[in-house]
Amino acid sequence: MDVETAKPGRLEDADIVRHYRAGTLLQTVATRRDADDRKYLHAQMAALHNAGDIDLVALTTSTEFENLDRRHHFTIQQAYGDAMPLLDAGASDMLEIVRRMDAQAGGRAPSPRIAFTKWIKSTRERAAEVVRSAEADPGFDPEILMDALVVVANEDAASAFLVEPGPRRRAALAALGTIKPKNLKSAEATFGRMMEFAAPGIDEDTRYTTISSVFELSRHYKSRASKWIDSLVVVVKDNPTESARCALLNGLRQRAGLLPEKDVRLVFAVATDGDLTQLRLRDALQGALYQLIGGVHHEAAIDCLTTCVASNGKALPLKEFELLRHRLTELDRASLFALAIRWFATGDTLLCQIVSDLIGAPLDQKPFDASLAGLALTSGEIIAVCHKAIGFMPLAPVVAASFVVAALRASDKIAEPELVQLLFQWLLVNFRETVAAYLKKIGKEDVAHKPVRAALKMYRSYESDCRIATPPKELQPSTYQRGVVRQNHYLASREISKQAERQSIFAGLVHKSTLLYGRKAVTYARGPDVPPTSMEMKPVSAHIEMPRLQTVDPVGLELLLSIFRISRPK
Amino acid sequence: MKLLLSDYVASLRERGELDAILPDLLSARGFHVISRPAIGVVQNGVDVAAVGNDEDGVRKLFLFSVKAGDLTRADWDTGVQALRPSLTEILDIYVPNRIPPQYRTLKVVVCVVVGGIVQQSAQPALTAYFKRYGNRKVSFQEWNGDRIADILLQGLLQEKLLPKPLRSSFQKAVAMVDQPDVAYEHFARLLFALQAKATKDKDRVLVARQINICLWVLFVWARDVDNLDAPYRASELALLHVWELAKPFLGKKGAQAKAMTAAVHQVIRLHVIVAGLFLEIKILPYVGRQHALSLAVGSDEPADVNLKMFDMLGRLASAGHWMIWLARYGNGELKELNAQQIDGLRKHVADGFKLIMNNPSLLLPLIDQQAIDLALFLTLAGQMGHADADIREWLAEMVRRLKTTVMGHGRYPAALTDYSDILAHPKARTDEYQREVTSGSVLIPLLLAFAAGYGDARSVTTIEELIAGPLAHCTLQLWTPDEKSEKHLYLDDDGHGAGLSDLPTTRSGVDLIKVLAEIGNHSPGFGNLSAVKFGFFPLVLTACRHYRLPVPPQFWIPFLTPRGTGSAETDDRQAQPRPKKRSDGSGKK
Repeated sequence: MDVETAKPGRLEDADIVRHYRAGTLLQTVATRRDADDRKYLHAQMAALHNAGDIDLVALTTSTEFENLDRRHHFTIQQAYGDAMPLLDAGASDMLEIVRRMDAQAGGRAPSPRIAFTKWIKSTRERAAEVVRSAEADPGFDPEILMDALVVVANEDAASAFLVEPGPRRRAALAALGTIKPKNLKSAEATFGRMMEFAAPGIDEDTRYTTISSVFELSRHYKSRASKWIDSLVVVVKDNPTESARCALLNGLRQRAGLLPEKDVRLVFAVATDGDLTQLRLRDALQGALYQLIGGVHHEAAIDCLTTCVASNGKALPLKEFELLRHRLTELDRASLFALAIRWFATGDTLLCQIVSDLIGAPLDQKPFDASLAGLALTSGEIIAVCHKAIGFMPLAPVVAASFVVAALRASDKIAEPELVQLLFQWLLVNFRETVAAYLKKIGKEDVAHKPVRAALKMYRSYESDCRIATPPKELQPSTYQRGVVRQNHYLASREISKQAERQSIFAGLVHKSTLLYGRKAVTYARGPDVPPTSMEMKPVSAHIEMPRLQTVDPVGLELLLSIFRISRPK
Repeated sequence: MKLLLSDYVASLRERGELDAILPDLLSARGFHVISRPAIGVVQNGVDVAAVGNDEDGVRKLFLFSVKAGDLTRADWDTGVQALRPSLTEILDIYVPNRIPPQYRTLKVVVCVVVGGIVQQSAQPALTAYFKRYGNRKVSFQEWNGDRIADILLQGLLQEKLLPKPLRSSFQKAVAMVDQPDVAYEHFARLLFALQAKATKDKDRVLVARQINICLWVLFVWARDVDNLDAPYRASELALLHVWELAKPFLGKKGAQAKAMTAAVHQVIRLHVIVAGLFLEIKILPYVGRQHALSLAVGSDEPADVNLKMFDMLGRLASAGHWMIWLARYGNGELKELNAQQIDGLRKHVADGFKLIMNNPSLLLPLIDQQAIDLALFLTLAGQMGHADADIREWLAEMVRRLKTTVMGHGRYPAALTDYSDILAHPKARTDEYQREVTSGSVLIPLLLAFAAGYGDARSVTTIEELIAGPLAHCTLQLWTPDEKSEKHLYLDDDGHGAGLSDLPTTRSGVDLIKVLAEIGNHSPGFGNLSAVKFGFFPLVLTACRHYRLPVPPQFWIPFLTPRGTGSAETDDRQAQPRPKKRSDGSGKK
């Protein structure tokens, strides 16, 4: 053997042969624990098979294989997955292994199949042999056929299977998309052949495969991509099934770089015209948008997303696109700000709410360092955007303040007085030093500095005015009232704690100790023979700052927020 | 107890405090008080004059010159309140010329009364003066705080006036004055116990005086701990109890009736002193500052802020009503308000609006019951006739908020009284919960009447929409006294009055005003209230505020009804400076 030197505890070749003969090899293989050890063993087995000492093909027909405990199936599949690419065997033998593995798994056994593909790809002859086997066997596995056709890389050989409807045709279509045509003429011919199967009337699975393959074919001749996709879209529009739309979207997701923006928009238009309440289509759309947002076709993707979630579009909640939510929050700050401005400026409640979900979380507020200058917004639009930022992010005052500061940077003298009032009356009065600390960082060189200072000055005056040095005792709630409030807080905290524990994914996994006294824990949880572990107790808390108006004018607060939310540019 | 009382006496720091309780102390000791302190009357050095037995058992005329706090060398001979000039005036003017003829034969004792002590620096001068001017006819005595406390103690400890169980309540009330709820509770027990003891006319006068003294003690102690809440509430209750005691004497003549009238006036003045001090020191300086008073509540619970602000508005309004009453009837005879008084009252109303504008929780009640405070202030502001625009603006905002909160299941006014329920309101944003907590309302008809009366068509429409829509189930009602009210209004010791329900809300509120005006014209229950009959109408308002009874429409409907159209033209004694005639109902002057 030329494999690495045997480690202690590893099986010797003789042991393997002995186990093979005794009908205990699979059991032995299945119970090896060490991963490296297993890989080594699998290679040993392949080598012994090639040397004729054992027969791994025959092993799959043995009693041991048939009676193998179910819990070992996966391990044995992995063993074959490792060994198969190394085997010297005929295609039929290899196919036999795959079939038996599939039969044992009660479906498709992935590891042996992948291994078989690797085996095919190692030489074109093996692939050709597989294709020949397939020609002779109408029930031949289409996936393996496709892999083999791709390796053979002969368009004619692949096209020969197009006449056979069903999985073999789809395998051929898929292969044709992957095989690089000999030249442009050949590519056009292939495209022409493929398009017959994208037309209405063809079964959906075949159409799906065809559309996907056209996208694949396009990567070989990028200059033809636009033309071919246009044709494809036209054909799909003739009979716009969900499956066809999904195929277009998947193609777009994988090959968006091939297409000009107009084609991207075309595909999105056809896709979003479908029933987006259907999970499959929605997922396909989500996949495409996920890929495109933040890339070269960002604008087209955002337009499409806007159509999907806006009140006057499909009005789908963003939670239906959970992946996208994450993608949007991961956008660079400039793009995220631009998106926020764009959606706030529409005044659409659903879009504004999504912006709030994306950037308006009360914890870990990240202000934008941006400007509305150069966005060609009117004074009214600037103010309306700020209203939205405040109205839809009532608990993220620093983020909202950064929108107002960005608006002040537009140096719009008409809007400025109102923006200063927004900073003062809304953000500073309600969130005091939290917002003041942020605003104080606006430097002198910043065009927003002067109006921001004006707002801060008003705030200082308000703060000194509203503080009574010795607050009248007569105004304070009675002892009884304070007691009731305390009790309510206690009950609410307990309920929150319970809920949090119920929803925690960790709570059920960890050991929980409740300490009644002390400032640190010295735990003997690891047993009496192990030294105890000492843990300092640290307070853990989270808080959300509530607007001051919530206390002094909750009704006014609600009213003001609603007004801001429905505010339109004057 | 003695310590408590001497501290109290020493704390009587203003003119009008020590000399205010002195006559009652003397009366309680069996003296016959023949002259009480009065502002603007030439007294020739005598603050109080009384006839009674001296320690030697001889009946003498006692002339008291009162000096609050300690007597120092500086206070002896110089300054506005110097003692020596007062004593000289007594000897030179009062004794020879002003002693009533029937007492001229009596020996005269000039008493120097100091709330604290005569300091060593002043003692030689005082002693020398006494020696120099004392003779067979005129002698001098020094009554310091300790001696007054002794007298006070003797008065309080008289078994028939303040028996042991009551002493305990009194002591607890004073001791717990910084816990207003507890102090008030004990004081209320004291008042009810005293009230129960006053079966004879003579007892009634004594008890009234006793209440006055106890209230004074409570007030002074509360002032020292800088918390006037307990005495404020106690003074309202005391007022109502003293009125209950005074009822048998109303319209009668005689010494006891006169004494009782004096007692009533004293308690009223004390209430006004407490309320005035509270407002002037604690509230009014801050009404112009945005959110200052709301934040001073020191609670994160919006309900706490709302409850306190409406309470303050009610107190401010109540004080305004008493100010009007004092200006017009304080001396026992009806007077027109002079320009200065009107200006003062208008400023008071303006301060009320500042309070509202700077403490926006006052823009919508949280509980229906706050319609009482609303009505008190609207009645005051409406009377002054200069704040119609402010009233309209306030009501319009209130109606706007009412609509928003009702439609959105927010913090709409609910008929809740339990504090826990109020804190939790709205417990649910459901129609079912809303129906439950808005089953009845005095606020809505009040708002409708004022909106209609002040010609705010938009607000009227909004209220009508609410009444036809989400509040269709709500029993709209008002309250008016009935024949049993006279008996129970002042002590709130039993149910009384009539709920006016199913009030018409048609024709943009016009029908409501019409019906209420009719009720005003024909409401014997209201007219028969002794406080109304005898011109003490703020007592009814005080009872409403204190016992949380809706303000009867008879108080406010006149300001909403065009004159001369069969409106509730009330007794002249209620008449205040009113808004000018609104012939078109527009509310425009």
